[in-house]
Amino acid sequence: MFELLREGAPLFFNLSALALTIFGVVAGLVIGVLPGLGPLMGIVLMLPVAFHLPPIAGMGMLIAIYVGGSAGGSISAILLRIPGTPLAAATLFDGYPLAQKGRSQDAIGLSITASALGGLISGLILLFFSPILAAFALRFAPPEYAAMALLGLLTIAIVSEGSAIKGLIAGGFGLVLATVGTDEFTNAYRFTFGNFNLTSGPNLVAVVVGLFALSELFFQIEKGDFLARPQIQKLKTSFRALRLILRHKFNLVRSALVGTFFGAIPGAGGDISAFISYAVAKRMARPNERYGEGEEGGVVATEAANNGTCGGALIPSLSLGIPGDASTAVLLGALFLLGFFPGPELFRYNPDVAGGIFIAYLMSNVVMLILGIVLVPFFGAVLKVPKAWLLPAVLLLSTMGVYALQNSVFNLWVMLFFGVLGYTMRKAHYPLSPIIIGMILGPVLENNFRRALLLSRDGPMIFVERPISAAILGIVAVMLVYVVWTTVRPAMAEPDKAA
Amino acid sequence: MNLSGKLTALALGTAVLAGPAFADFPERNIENIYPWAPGATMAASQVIADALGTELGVNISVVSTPGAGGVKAFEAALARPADGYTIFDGYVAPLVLQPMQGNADWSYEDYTPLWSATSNSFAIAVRADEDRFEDFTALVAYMRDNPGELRYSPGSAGALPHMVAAKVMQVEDVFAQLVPYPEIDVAVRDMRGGVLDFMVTNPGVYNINKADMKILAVLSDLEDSSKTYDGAPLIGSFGVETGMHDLSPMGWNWWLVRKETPEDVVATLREAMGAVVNNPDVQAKLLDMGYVPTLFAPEQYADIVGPVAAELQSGIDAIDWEKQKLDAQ
Amino acid sequence: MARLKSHAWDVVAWVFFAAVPLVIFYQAATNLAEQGVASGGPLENAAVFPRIIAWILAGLAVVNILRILMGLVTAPSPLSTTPTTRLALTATLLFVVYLVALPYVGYHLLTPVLLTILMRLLGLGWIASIVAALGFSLGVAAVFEGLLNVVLPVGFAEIAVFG
Repeated sequence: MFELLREGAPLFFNLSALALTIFGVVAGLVIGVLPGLGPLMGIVLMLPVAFHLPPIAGMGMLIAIYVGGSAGGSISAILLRIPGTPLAAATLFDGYPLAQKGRSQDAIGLSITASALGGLISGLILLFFSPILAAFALRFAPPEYAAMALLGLLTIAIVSEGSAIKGLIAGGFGLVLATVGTDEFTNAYRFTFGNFNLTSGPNLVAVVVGLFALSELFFQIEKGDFLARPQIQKLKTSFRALRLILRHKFNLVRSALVGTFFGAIPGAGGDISAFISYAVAKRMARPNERYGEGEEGGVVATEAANNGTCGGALIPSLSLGIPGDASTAVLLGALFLLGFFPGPELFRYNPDVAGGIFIAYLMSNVVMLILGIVLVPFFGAVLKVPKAWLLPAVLLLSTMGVYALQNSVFNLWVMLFFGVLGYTMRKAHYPLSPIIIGMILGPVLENNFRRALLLSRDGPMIFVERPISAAILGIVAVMLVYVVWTTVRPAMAEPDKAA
Repeated sequence: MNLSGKLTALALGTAVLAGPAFADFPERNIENIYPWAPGATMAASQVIADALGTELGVNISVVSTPGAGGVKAFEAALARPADGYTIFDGYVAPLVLQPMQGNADWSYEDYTPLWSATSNSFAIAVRADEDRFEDFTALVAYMRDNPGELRYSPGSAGALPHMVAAKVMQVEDVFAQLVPYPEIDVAVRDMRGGVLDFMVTNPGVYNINKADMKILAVLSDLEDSSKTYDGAPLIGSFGVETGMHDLSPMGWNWWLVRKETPEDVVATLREAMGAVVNNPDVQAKLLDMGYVPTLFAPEQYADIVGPVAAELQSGIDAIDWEKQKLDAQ
Repeated sequence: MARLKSHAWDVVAWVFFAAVPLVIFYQAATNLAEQGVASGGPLENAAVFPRIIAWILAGLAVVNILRILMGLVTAPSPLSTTPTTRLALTATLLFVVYLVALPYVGYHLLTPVLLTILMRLLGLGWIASIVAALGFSLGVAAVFEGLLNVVLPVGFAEIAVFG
């Protein structure tokens, strides 16, 4: 595992990669601070830029945004009682009361420190486990990859917010989108409707920006208050939090581990792990700690967990090519487009790239620990920028980012279409992430499914004859039974409860 | 006019002045529309684009526009004005192959050539520790004794490497189970894992995966091709005559512009590109990556590209032959 | 009927997702069959996988409409509006006009206009809007044209400021 770091070091430790990591952390924090835009949007907005950079500098920037974006949401949660991202929703419980007691400085300091340290802990686990998992996955062949893709998609559809049925519909729709374009086995055009722009399918980035960013802009305009400048307490730079957090070291490590664990399960995102970690911390609290009324431990528990999730989510993403959440799905897409295949091959053929990504992740957390605290007053100022300036700027950046991918206006229409769809889905309480995961895993699933059948000498039996593939499909079957059970049982027990 | 109106006028005026619409070509950045997904091959185009950009004093961006076996990139470039600001990265697939298969309605004569860029030959590779077949002759003998038992991947089905491999097998009257791997790096993984018995590789993939593969035969009749595979034997040295010569069994690209492009623009581009591909530094860079500069001048376009079509038809026929063999199995 | 109203967005989303499998079945039977890739083994049959997904989606659609009609969808999704919904729709319409005109008019002429109108709509003053619109569009152009060598739409006037 230290070999990976040594191989990756030369790729990462140069001026441009370091500078871009610093830029990424700050940009991520700013995007996290702004209500409505999360780490995913940050990654997507900077994706076109990353394609024009050397691989590690580009991936390093995106990962830094991922790290910063996962932490920044807590600042607005603490100061305004508006979580900047869903990840920070649980930070409200104690962060906002702390700020009301006049301790917003401490609350923000603790949240950033806990995020950075939690991220570092999960980074060490990532460093240790990914090569092991990747070495195991070297035994995988097409049947196993098809089974893994199915499992990844299923967990994401089931675990994401909303009903499992809606998650499955969204995931299935993502698979359908992945089939649009030129079939890679027959070179036939599928579902292109005679439009040559569709012969490579809808562009992933255009879909992501449409679903997430455009729909969010529409929601933001519907909310009004374009010129409001929120009142917040005066903030300064202070490293007191580094001392404060020592009182919570067990809480910190435990929460980081909880976050890493849930991050490594495809589909369980940072918001879920933050809530679970908060519940655990509350249960293990000493009698004199009053969670929910401004307890430092509450902020530490949620923030260490939601940033620990990042490192966790990178584990299956890098070692198996199965994304842990929507953000890592887009990171995987970026890696594909830069010409690298996540999975065991990455560790075998490009150990320098894998190592560089690990270093980038660890360094992002280190940078955040320092800059996150130094720049606290700046983030306070960012919160005061009225939406009338912000919304048009975000619209322009998203639009030109999508255009620049292939210098294509058609992609902008794709983006608009998915903006409308994203709005409809959010109104109807559908999760959006499974679409993205479906689009990424679709080709993995279909190509390996068909390939396995070609390789097999006795048809579909190949999927159950191979032990690993059979085991994975067994888990899939259990999960499907669970979904049916949870969907059917309430229907029989209490029909028409909601009407 | 109120203040805001004045500001608008001023802004628009500045913008118009900043883009002189009547200076000498080129006055702004040029795009090279590249027909595949990013990867080693795109890096080769990028090398030429960077050098050509320096020569012309602008930037040339290589825009990856994959889809429909390269046709999408041509369609996208055709939709742009014929002003020399859009260059077609004319790979053999969209330029010759797709029209032959009825997937596009142009011929190579519909474009104005600049210089030819690079070629890369294909090769048959097996696992580095393969002990069933010593050399290409042994592989053929094994296939003859065990018809259809081996599994192989030429990358994408129906593409150029597939044609050449099918042609070789047709000539030898042997066949193996075809398993397409559009992502060729993944084919290397599965060959190493024992799922595939042999594959068709290109120099870019070979360069990265040298430790895991052994080249049995380079599918070309040019000595330069052997060099990109560290001196592996050419297919001809095993007495196999495929009937595909020179550029025909290889991937190659020729940079093109639209037919209606003004002559002075074409002349400027040709002169600059001629200087670039004949520059020893650029050539060395390309060779390092496994791409051989072909150095055909614009005037040779028809003589070189014309014969390719006829020889490729035999590759298309070979794929049909292979399909019949596999279906009959 | 009351349920269709209280779950209006659910119904809209349902109609969209229920149409997807139908399109797949139709395309597989027509277009893909004409291309000769709707039958045969895994090598030749490009329609198998989409058809499997379509069957699953069709099944899920049936379950979902039953859940809506039986009142098992707990979260309501009525067609509610806010005082600024009309503004959001206007902005969307503006963006559509922008996309239509972009290839012909070009980035540098059109973007400042779009941004100025948007910022005016969101309540900024004329001068602030114009200055910010110019600043934003030039800033974004500087990054994409200047740093990343992207050719932004040049339009009829063939304008590229940083290219």
